[in-house]
This record gives sequence, C-alpha cells and structure tokens, in this order.
Amino acid sequence: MSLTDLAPGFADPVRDAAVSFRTILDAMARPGDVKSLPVTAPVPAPFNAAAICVALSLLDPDTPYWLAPDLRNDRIIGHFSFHTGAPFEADIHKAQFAFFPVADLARVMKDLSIGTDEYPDRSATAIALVPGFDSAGGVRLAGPGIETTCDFAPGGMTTDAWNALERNAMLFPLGVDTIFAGPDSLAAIPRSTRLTQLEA
Amino acid sequence: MYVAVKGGERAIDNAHRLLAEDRRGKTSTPDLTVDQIREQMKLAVDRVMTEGSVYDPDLAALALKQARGDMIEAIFLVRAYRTTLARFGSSLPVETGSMKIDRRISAAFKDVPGGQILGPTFDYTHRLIDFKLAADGGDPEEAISMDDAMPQARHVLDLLAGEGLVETPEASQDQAPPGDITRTPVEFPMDRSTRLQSLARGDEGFLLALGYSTQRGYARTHPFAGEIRVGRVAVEFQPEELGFPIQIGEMEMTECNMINQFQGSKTVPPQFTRGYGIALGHGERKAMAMALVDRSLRAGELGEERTAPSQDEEFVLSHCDNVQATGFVEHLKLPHYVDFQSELNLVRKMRRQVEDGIAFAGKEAAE
Amino acid sequence: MSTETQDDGLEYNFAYLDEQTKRMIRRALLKAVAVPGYQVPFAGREMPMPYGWGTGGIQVTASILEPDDVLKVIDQGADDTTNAVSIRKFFQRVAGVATTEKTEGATLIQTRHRIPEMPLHEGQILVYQVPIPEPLRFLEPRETETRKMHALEEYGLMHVKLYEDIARHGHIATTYAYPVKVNDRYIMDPSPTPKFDNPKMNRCAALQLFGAGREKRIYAVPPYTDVVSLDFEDHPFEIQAWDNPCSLCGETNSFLDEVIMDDQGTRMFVCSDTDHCTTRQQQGYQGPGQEAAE
Repeated sequence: MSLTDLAPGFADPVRDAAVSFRTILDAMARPGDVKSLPVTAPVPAPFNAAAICVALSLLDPDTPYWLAPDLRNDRIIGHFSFHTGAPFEADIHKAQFAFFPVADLARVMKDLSIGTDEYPDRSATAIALVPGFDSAGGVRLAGPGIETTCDFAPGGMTTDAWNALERNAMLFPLGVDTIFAGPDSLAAIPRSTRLTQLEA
Repeated sequence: MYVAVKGGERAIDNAHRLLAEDRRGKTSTPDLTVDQIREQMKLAVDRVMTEGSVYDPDLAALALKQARGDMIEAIFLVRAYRTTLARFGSSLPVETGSMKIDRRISAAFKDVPGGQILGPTFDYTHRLIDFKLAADGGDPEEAISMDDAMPQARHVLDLLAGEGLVETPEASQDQAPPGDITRTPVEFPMDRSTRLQSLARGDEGFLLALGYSTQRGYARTHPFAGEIRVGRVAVEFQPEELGFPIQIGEMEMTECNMINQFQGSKTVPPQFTRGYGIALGHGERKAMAMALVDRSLRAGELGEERTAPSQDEEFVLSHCDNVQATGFVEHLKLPHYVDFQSELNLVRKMRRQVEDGIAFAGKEAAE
Repeated sequence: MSTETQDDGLEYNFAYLDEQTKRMIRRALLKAVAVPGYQVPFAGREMPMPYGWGTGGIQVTASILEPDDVLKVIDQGADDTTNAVSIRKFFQRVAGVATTEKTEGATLIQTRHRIPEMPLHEGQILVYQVPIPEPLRFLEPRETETRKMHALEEYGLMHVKLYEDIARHGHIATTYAYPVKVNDRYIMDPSPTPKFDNPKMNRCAALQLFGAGREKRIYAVPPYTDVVSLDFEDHPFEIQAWDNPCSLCGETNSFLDEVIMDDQGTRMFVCSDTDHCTTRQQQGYQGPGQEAAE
C-alpha cells in the first residue's frame, strides 16, 4: 500500500481529537446515553465514523490494538499506523483496544483483558461497531453515571451478547469497558453499569 | 466595612517584575552571559543537566541564569522544558567502556591497564580561598593537553569478572529494554533499570546523605571505588529505515562502579557485588553516592535483611526527586485557610468539651 | 489552532501538553470513569508550575479542554486567590479559552480545596487538584501495601482509625480530606476539601475528575454516583456548622472563612465561595457586617 492510497485523518488533528475525546468521555460517564459525533473523519471501509473517531482520538504508539477478522485489512492497519502510530496486535489477549462488528461481541469479550485486582485499569476497551441505536428490546441500565435508569438498544445485539456484558459487569471492579460505535454517534457501557434485559 | 481582598493578578505581575529586578542585581555590574556560566560554572551546569535529564549545556546554563543560581529551580526549568520536546526515538545504549577518558581512577588497585588518570579534580587541592580570582585571575597556566589522544581503557571490573570474583550483570537485564520513568507510571517493586533511572535524576544531596549513612553502619556495604571514569562517550542512533547505527554526537559522562563485599548466599558463592552510578557531565559525588544507594537497594535481590532507610526502595525512590520534593514542601506557602478553618473549628469544639468536662468534674467533686 | 504563538515567541501546542501526553491522560481518564474511585496510575509530566501547585488538576484540565469551554478556576473557593489567577492565566495563554468567575456559566471548573456552594449541573465537569490521592496513606505509607488493601477491599484499618478518634475525642476528628466510599467499592480521598463539601459529591450531576500530579494518579466520580462519607451508626457523619451567618451576604448554609479584622482579634465570617457571596449580594442579600456599616 502506498501513501497515496491513504485517507486523511482528522482535518484539524488537535481540535478534532479534543472534541471527539470529550464526546467519548461524556459517553463513558453517562452509560447508554447516545452522543452525536462532533466531527467526522474519512472512513476507510469497513469501519464506521464513530469507530474511526475513537481510534484517531485514543490510539498512539503505546496502545496495541486488535481487529476482528472482518475488519482486518492492510488499508485499516496502514491507516491507523500512519495517523496514530499504533501497533496492530494479532493476539487479542494483549490488545488494549479491540475493534469488532457487534455480531462478534459475545465471542470477543471472553478473550479481552479484564485487568488485575491491583490494577483494574489495565483492562481492554472494546469498540463494537453497530448499525445504529434504535433497535427494539435492548437493556435497562443503572449504576454510576445514570440518574435513575436508562434504556439502551443498539442494533445487532443478541441475547448472547447481552449475557456477555452482564457477566462482564459482575466482574467489577475488573472487566472490559465497551464503546458502541455507530455511523454518526456513539455510546458506552463501562463495567460499572448494571444491565437488565428487556423483552423485544 | 470589610471588603474581600482583590488584585491577585496585579500582585502576581508585580512580583514577577520584582523577581526580574532582583535576578539582574545592580545594573552597574555587567550582565552574566550564558557562555560564561557554561564555561565557568560547569559543575553547576552538569548537575542541572543530570537531574534535569537533558544533555544540553547551553540550556542548563540559561536555566541557571534565570533561576538566579538556585540549582533545584534550574533543574525544574529544564524538566518543564523537556516535557514539551517531541521524542524522535531512543539512542543505542552508550558504551562507557569505549569512553574517551579525561579522568579515570581505581581505588581498588594501585595500577590498572590503561593507567590511573587524575584529570581535572579538586581532590588534592588545598582548600584555600584563591584571592587572585577576586581580582582578574588572568588565564591559567597551561596543563599538559591530552586532547589529541584521549585514552580508552576497559572497565576495571571487567578485569576481575573474568575470575568470577565480581558478579556480572545478568544477561536478561541487559537484553530487556530499560523502563522509562518519564513515560510510564512508576510501580513498586521497580526493576533495576527503572530504579537506576530514578536515582540518576535523584537529588544529589539526598543520595549523598543516604550513601553516607550506609558507610556509617546503616546497612553497611563495605564499598571500594572500583572505578570512577569521566570522559566523552559516543551517542548512536539507529533510524528504522537505515538499519545501521549512526553517531549523532558525544556526551560527557561520569560513571562509578563500586565494588562491595558480599558474604554469599545459599545460591551464590562469596564474591564482590556492584553498585552503579552515572551522571551527565562531570559529577563524581553524585555518581558515587548513587552507586552506594544502588547497591544498598539491592538488598532484597541479594537476600540481605532490610534494616536501614537506604535499603527501603519505596522510601528512597519516592523521595529522591527534588523537583517533586521542593514542590510539595513549598506548596505549604499556598493558602490553606479552608483546611485551617476546619481545624480551627475542631480545636475550639474539643477545647469546649474539655472545659465542660473539667467544669463537670469540679461540680461532681464539690457535691 | 494547533499552535499558539505567544508574546515571548514560544509556541506551545493547544493547552500546552503534547498530543501523545494528552492521549495517555485521556485513556487514564476513561478507565478512571469506568472504575469510580479507583486511582489510575498515569505517567504525569513535569508542568511549568511546581508540584503541589495543582499540576495534576492542570494536566487533567489540559487533556479535556476543548476550544469552546468556559473555564473557572478557584482556590479555597475564591477566583481571585493568587494561584487561581495564575492557573487561569496559564490556560488563557496556552489554550485561548474563555474564562469566567460564575459557577453557573462555567463548563469546566478546576478547584483546589472547595466545591462550589451552588449545585453543579449536568453539562459541567469539576476537576480537583489532589496532593495525596491515597486515603490510606497516613495509615500505611507503602504503596505496595495500600494497593493490596484496595484490591482486597480490606478497609478495616480506616474504620479502626476513625473509631479510635471517637474513643479519644467522642467524635471523628477529621475535618478535611474526610474519606468517602464510592459506588460501594473503593475508599477515596476527596482531596483536602472540608468535610462540609462531602455531601455535595454524592450523586452530583456533574462529572468529577481528580488529578494528583506529584503522586501521578487520576481518579473520577461519574455523575449520580453514590459517595458516602465513612461513619458509624452511633456516630453518624456530620458537617461543620457556624454560629454566625456570612457577614457580607447573610448566608447561613455555606462554608465560612474567619477573617481577623484588627490587632484586638475582632473576627468576622465570610463565605469562602466568593462567587456565591457576590451573587447573593447582587441579589440584595445582606449580612450583619453590611448592615452595621450603613
């Protein structure tokens, strides 16, 4: 792959990373609250805009990341390498960030690092690519960041996937923190959030 | 009527102006140049480079000028500047064994291959104030120059290592990339490379006192100055795309290898162990003190009982950084009146309770 | 807007820190939010202010600041104390953001030792400057030990300490940096805020972030998170109260600073939160000090 094939990153890297991060922080601090992307950067297939935003704002040479097979291609790896310097990590257990289609969620969660008792922060952050946030069913969320409860229904989530997130929540304070990345918005479920599945 | 004091901003501006005036001193005396500081206050410059963790004599000299000669302030200026610098990569490890030597002594052997080289040292000067320097001292007498052929010599300890009398640093430690305390959070227990890094930027005075305490019996390590060498080492960098190293410059460094007695343990026969110290520029006191403390901190690894402060890793490494230490000590100057108010209320409450108690006890006794 | 050229010709990145440092801190912040009250180690950088002057808070602020933010900086509750002025000026200079003294209008508030009296709202972030982040540090000086205690949720020592207070004094003798339990898991140091402010942390609508620069720790309390001040059933937590209202605005429910007026030791009490006090005075409230002067 040559340099000319590369899509640009953020138009204004400093500003765009700052406003994107604030959106991600806000999403993590208010689980289930769907946040519109403040900026978009060109999206190499098969990624989506929110996942690119997350990658460009958080990855750097210190963060090995993993890609699900469906998302893994030279174009993406080259894109991340050029714009963030982050190394692709083939071993999912060692990844700090993992990007995958939402259909893979249940499978991927099993393998991601959940941190250690003394360093629960050394856990992976999962980025699940979703088609949108207006699906039927979903979950009712409660816990830190949520005043009472919050209903959350990203597209493509299965009972298996929700079960995986429920199990993850039971590991608290260990566990994986999940960002749901959509075409124009994102939301998060950190490990501290409790989930109750709703009937579809 | 009471009006809350305003005008912090004006007060700060004026304080800065007063500071600038004081720094300059009487304008009837010539302004110090950075060149003068670099050339004539070299040891101060070197210490600022070592503890500031940047090899840049001009920058360190400028910091000293700005800091009015306050070492820790100058070190702080250099550190704060350092954090804004982009990092292009890491050099290859410098090879002190091929140092171009200015000074090299061993206290353990009368003579060593390569020779004892006294070099520029205060060691055998008589500490008499030289009043000639107060007047225009003029140019010093020329010394025999070694510049043309700076000698190189193997480390003295390598000569002993062949016999197995001195430990050789573990190969695994040599291979692992060293930690970086400026980029990754510190975690205890620390590995040796990270520990040495902390000590290298640690406060000279603090390490000196701790090293001294080991000599006076607090975790005695029976040290010998195996070798102290001062000179210039080549700095090499290997760009990824090039595939071979290129020399990008030279640095002056001071290195100290202490030899310490070791009784042996269940797994290791009696042999000499090492303590290691290094400093940028010419900094013998720092390198020696560091080597003593390094050896002392190896107590756990060598199966020695930890009894003294110099053997306590968390204690030594959490407190050796003078920029951190001075910040926290001096922050007591900042207003704390909210906390003080809280304590004031508490002390009043407790005094009232005591007085009530005394009154109550008195009343009881009277009844 | 990537770089700002300054009067003295120096160029700094937006909000001073380089992008890689910001990213490192941003990642630490996300983990801190995900594990409320847990102290995330981060590779704190040397800042152009001394340790102890708020370098942790400054690094957090610099990493989350966006160009549209409106920044308020307070020290001891006041906007005009020298260190608050200095930090505010720093961000005006290196980030060019708008600043305010109004709690209401700020999107980002950096504080040392106080929480504003006015309840914070959802759009706001409160950044605390923290000197000693470890609530167990004065009971156990070793990081290796305190880390284990947090891991095992072994907090008996803290309760013993508080109970010894009660045995000795009849009440808990901690008045500031009063320990809290966050989300029913981690014991956390609220920074040296007076215990008067502790209840404001509980289920606060704003995101609370804590930065300890010298100790290199970041922690967080997400909005609407339970923050409980440690106490005992027979000795419930209580906050300070004053016998007098604020001399300037008559407020009876704020933290008051004691001001010594003359050599005879005459005292008066005024709100430590200067914005709260001036806002009330503008609304026409008067304290006994004002009435007496008329």
